[in-house]
Formats: sequence, structure tokens, C-alpha cells
Amino acid sequence: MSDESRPHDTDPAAKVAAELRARLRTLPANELVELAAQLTTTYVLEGVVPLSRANDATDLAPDSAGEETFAQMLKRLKAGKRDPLLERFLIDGDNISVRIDGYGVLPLTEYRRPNAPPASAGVTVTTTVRQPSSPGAATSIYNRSLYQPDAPAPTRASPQPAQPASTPAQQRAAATQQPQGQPGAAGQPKKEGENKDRFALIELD
Amino acid sequence: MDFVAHQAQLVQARLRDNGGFNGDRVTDCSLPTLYAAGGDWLKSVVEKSDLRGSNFSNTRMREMLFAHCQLRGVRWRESRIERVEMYFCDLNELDFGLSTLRRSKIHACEAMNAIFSGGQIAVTRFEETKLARARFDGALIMRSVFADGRLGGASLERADFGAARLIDVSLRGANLMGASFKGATLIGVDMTDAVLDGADFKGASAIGCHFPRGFSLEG
Repeated sequence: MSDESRPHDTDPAAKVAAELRARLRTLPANELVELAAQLTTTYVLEGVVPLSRANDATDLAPDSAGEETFAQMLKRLKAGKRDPLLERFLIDGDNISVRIDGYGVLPLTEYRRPNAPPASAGVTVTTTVRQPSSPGAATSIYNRSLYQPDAPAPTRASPQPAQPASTPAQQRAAATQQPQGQPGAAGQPKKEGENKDRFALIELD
Repeated sequence: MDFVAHQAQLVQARLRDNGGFNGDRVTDCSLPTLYAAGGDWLKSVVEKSDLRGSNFSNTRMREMLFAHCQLRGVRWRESRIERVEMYFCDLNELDFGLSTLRRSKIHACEAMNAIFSGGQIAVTRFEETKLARARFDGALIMRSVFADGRLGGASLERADFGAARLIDVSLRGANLMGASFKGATLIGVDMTDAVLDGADFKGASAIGCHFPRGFSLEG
């Protein structure tokens, strides 16, 4: 041992190593084996970052990299590698900011999209009934519903299960069939005949 | 399978038939002095259940969750515990001697007078857990954290770390009044701001440790 041959070495690291050796020599063999096994498993096989290098993060080390968020991964990389480029990233929970010379600290995650995948179109339709914001809107001459027959409301109050979406042609057919039983509906032209239906369809469009 | 309230006997039957749990959930069951030694428990949840005085010796538990359980005086010797989380459990007088605890989390529990003697604790976090007079003598504790989120330091007064080996352990701000570290080996232990009044470090060896300002082992 080179360190032992120099008892008056002033190097602090060498002193620590010498103390460590001296202490480990006093431990019984089975305890040394336990120690070596735990050290190897923890720091070599599992690659756990020592607490002194884990900065303020004293949580348990992640079991696998695949479960990490981007912020956690950056945090781990920052702890593992003292890289000046990584040091520019500031991590606060899941929020990541970056320090750029001349621009200060800019948030990177401000407009981040939600983690949940978007719902596929046509699977679930969730609509809400919109009440007129003012009583005048219901009777306004610009309210198109006043000029339409009493067709089923285009909005639904509760989420519906998956259904095949009806085509615009089917909607038009439903809209034109209903008024037959209600000839005196408000705003309904009283003329009968195919021309009138045609104009009504145009108006609906 | 889910077991609730009155299905304690079914839980016992399950343990008897399968030798443990796998993907099960036990809720609100009263199972004091349950004998489940030598079993293998995997990916199961035990919550709000009374298991005081039970015997889990020589069990192997992985990816388990114990929440709001009464585990006072449970005999858990020579077990292998991995990725187990315990929340708000009563662990007072628990006997965890010679067991291995790895990648586990013990949060907001009471483990006063608990015995961890001769055990191996690695990559484990004790948070907001009362460990007064707990015994860690002869234990190997590695890369573990003793923390208390509310009060700033872990409650470890009069804990016994005699002849223990603590490597890369955070005891920052811990209350270690009257604790014993007789003959302990401390390597890379962070005791910054810890309260060490009356702590006994006779025969202890500290290498690369951080102590409170003004504290020295010789003094």
C-alpha cells in the first residue's frame, strides 16, 4: 500500500483513505462482505446517485429511467454530470426554465400541453346547453332558431355514448320532417309545395 | 382479489392456500396476531387493517403498500422487503431485526422502540416518522434519509446506533439527543444541524461526515 508507506502524507484525501482502511480492517469478514455487496448493488448495479451528489433531492432514486418525467430526467442528469450547459436549466417541480445570457430566465414549460392524450374525434361527444346570456337575445331578429321549425335542439345536455355521427343530410331530413305535424309554427312560411321546402333547406344551410 | 371488512377469514384462507398475496387488496380487516411467516407478498395493498402482533418473519415482500394499518409489535424478522411503502402506520415496537429493507419509504409512521438490529437498510427514506428509542444496533444503513418535513429533523432521540455501519446517510437536522453511536462506523453521514446533546460516540469512527458547527468527536 503506497499510502501506508507514507504515514506523514499531508494530502487530505490520502488521510481519509488511510482512516477508511484502518477502520475497515477492524470489521469482521462477514460485515465486510455485507458492506461490499450493498455498495456494489446500490451504486454499481443500480446506479443510485449518492446523496451528496443528488443536490437537494432526497427522494428515493427512480427505479427505472422510463418512469421519469422530463423534469426528473433533467434533474438526474444535472446531479450526475456537472455540465455547465445543464446547469443553465432550472427545475422547480415539473416546471423547467432556462437561463440565457442577455435574456434572463425563460420558462420552457409555460405552454406545455397536458400529459393526457387528446380524445379521438367522434368517440365521445360532450356538449352543454348554452343559455341565452340576455333575455333580448332570445327574441332578437338575428336569432336563427326563431326562423327554424321546432327541430330537436342541436345541443345535448349530457355526454352521450359513442354513436355514429349523423350526416348533415340526415339532420336536414329530420328538420324538414318535423314541421309537417306543426303547420302553425312560429316563423314558418304557410305556403305548401316543393319549392317552399327547397327554400327552407337553403335557409337552414 | 379485494377483501373488505368482514372477510378476514377469507384473507387467512388466501394466505394459507397461496402462501401470500399477489395483486390483492385488503381493506378494513381485523387480523390481529395473524400468522403469515415465510410467505411471498407481491404488488398488494393492505390498508386500514389491524395486524397488531402478527408474525411476518421470513417473508418476502415486494412492491407492497401498507396504509393506515395497525402494525404494532409485528414480528418481521429476517424478512426481505423491497419497494414497500408504509403510510400512517403504527409500527411501534416492531421487530425488524436481521431483515433487509430496500428501496422503501416509511412516511408519517410511528416506530418508537422499533427494532432494526442487525438489519440492512438501503435506499430507504424515513419521513415524518417517530423513531425515538428505536434500535439500529449492528445494522448496515446505506444511502438512506431520515427526514421530517414539518419540524425540519427526524425524531431519533435516544435511538441506538451502536456498532452500526452508516454509509451515505442523511441525518440532517435530526433530533439525536441521547442517541448512542458506540463503536459505530459513520462514512459520509450528514448530521448538519442535528441535535447531538448527550449523544454517545465512544469508539465511533467518522469518515467524511458533516457534524453540527462546533461539534467534534473528540470533545
